[in-house]
Amino acid sequence: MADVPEESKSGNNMTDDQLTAADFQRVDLDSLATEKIDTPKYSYWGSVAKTFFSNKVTIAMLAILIVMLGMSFIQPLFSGYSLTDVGKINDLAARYQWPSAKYWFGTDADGKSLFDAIWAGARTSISIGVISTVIVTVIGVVVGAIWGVSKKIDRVMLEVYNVITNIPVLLIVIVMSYTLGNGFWNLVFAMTVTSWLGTAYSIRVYVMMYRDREYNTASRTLGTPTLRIVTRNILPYLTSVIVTQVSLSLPSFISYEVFLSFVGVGLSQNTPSLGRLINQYQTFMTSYPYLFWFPVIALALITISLYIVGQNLADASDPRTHM
Amino acid sequence: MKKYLFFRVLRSIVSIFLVTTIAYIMVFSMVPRRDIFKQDPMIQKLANDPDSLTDYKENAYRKMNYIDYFDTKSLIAKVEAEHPDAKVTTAHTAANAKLFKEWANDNGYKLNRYSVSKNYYVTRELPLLERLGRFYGNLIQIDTPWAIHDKSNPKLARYLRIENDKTVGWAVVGSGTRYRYQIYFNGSFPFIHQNIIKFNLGTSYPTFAGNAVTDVIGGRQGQTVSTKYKFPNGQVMNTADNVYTRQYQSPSRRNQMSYERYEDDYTNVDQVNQDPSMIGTSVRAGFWALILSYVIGIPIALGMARLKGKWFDRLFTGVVTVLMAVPGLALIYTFRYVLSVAGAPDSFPTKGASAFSSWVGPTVVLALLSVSGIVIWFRRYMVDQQQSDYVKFAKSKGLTDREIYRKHIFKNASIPVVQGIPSNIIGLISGAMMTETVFAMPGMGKMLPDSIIAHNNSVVIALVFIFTTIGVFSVLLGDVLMSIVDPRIQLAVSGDEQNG
Repeated sequence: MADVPEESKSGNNMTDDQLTAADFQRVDLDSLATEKIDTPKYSYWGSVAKTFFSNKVTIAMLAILIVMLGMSFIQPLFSGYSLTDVGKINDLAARYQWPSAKYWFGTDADGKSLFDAIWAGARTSISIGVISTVIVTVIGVVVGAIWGVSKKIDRVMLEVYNVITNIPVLLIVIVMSYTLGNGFWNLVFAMTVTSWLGTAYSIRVYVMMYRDREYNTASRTLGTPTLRIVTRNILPYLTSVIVTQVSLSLPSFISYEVFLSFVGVGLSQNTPSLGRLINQYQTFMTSYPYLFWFPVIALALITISLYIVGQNLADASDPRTHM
Repeated sequence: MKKYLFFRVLRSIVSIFLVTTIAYIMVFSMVPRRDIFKQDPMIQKLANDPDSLTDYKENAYRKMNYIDYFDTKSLIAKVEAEHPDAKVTTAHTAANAKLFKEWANDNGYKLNRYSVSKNYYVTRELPLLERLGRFYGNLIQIDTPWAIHDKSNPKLARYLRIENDKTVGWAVVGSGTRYRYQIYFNGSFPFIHQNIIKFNLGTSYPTFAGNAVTDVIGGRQGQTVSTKYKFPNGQVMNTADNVYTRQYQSPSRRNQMSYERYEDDYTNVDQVNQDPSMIGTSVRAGFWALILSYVIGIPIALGMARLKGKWFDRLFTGVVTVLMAVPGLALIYTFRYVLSVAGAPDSFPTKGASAFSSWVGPTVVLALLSVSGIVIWFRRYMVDQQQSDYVKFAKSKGLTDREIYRKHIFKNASIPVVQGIPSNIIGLISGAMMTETVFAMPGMGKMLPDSIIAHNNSVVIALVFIFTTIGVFSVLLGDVLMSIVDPRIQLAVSGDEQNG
């Protein structure tokens, strides 16, 4: 109300410049523009990225993770590290060299560079962790989604779940990889064969929680098929749940692989792995501690950075943190 | 409630049965059977004697329930039993061969010949179902006065009676039974012991070859110890014999000295060893680790919840994150290193089971492995409680923080403590596998990787059975405890809801 006199005043001041009809231009009614509601543009993933990168610890961990991943997958291409290579086995001078400019992490009993061994081993460990996690997550989400909406399947699956969760995972993995024999894909199978049940169960709980919310009742009333309700109405809400599961299972799979290689089951004899290194060098803990501690530290850095980046991504992908 | 518990126990038994069966089928059908000889030194020793090697191998398969096997001598006995009139010898005559072949065909056996002596022997592949049947059929053995049938000892008395025995005091004493003392009392926990019901999980091979798996896992280990006993013949002397486990021994194999000492046919005795059994070692370490993990975890979680967002909370959030993320093996080595710097032995056998300091390392490490889970779970719970109405009300009444924590929140806190116990026990089993292996602690956790490497399939199955039983029943126990601690929880209803 206050600006009305103001406007008339200014109108009086501009009496000399008369407005003519030529100053105006006819604009057709744009039905599209009237429909548009003017709000700041919101992009879910943009918002996730904003929250994710606002945390300094996350950025530091992400940097470590990228370095570790890069080294594990690029360095072995150039180093040509192979467990079966025994070229320097008779060169006494090359054995047990402490870390130096030439051998950054020193050399082992065969005169081979530990630096090369660690990245070759890390590549196996990370590959197993990532592949197993992808398999477990895909199967877990699909089965969990079906499990959540079907009462018949729920009955059967709950019984299966109750039996499996009573058994320590490591017991299943170790017995499975024993019976399947050694090998990369056998190990992946042994680790994933029951682990997806955990992911599926947590997805099932959330699907059940969301499926009877009002918006889904409304959607169903409007005739949306169940498949569409699950994939379009429910699963997008579970992004942060899924990411949390991923960030938990990645380090745990790496941990199982390390223990199995440590024990001597799982991977075949010519596959390098961090668990094998730790097992091999545990006796050198006091005599050549670098041989033991470098693999342990590398392992810890990989799993910690994976875990923290994953957890913070899960937090960031939770829409409730975007306000 | 009773009905619910009954069905719950029944379901638990079914799931143990299922898991063990699946493990049995997988291990015995997928692991190549010749792998059991990989670590066996006897194979090298017998390499120059192919016949003995064949005999040894077939015997080993028989012990592991892969096949039925009769060597030449037992084959002749079998054939003679079926044809009492025929004269069967080891000679390689056509008549003998015909009889052997006939018997083998009739009974589904395969006739083979040793490679050097050319003598005959028979084998029969046991189908998986029959093997499973034998495994479960022999699983529980009940001792009765009619258990022993010995042709060389037809006058064996058969009775069960309560006696004041000269050696063990008041006991239920049996004759014709496998064990002499059916029920007896002594000073060791749980004070009343029985020999009536025994588990039989097969025979261990190739490690601990020939021993019953239950003895390998449940029998005491280490050096023998002597105790002073008064024997039935009146003699008082020190002996390493475990007089409580006297078992029947046929007079044909009797040791005259023991017979004079015990004055009956029960002369087969175990020795008393000083160290706890594998299962005892694991249970002891696991029990104290469970308590220790709560003793460490709960105060930290309480502090974190009370000082939420302060430096204490943030510091331990960091610590817990590291504990969660770093692989167990790396953690165990790091903790072991720290503990060994502090003076604890870094390997269990260095000082043995009798030294307290040997137990410190494995137990503390085992506890630390499960602390992170307890802290996260308990902190979350306490933080949620702080927001609850009853705490706000107590605050508005003017109660101090101390009073609210002590009198209100703490009572409710027993619920998550109990709730977490089953998953902690299951976690401890996994933790024990790693910890015991690293510390070379002679427990069940170390035995599993060991027996897998040695291809000791019977022990693998037995350990799967034991671990699954512990897991299933700890979950059951946790649920029952929950309903006792928190009367609002009604198992029967929640159980039905789960089904519906």
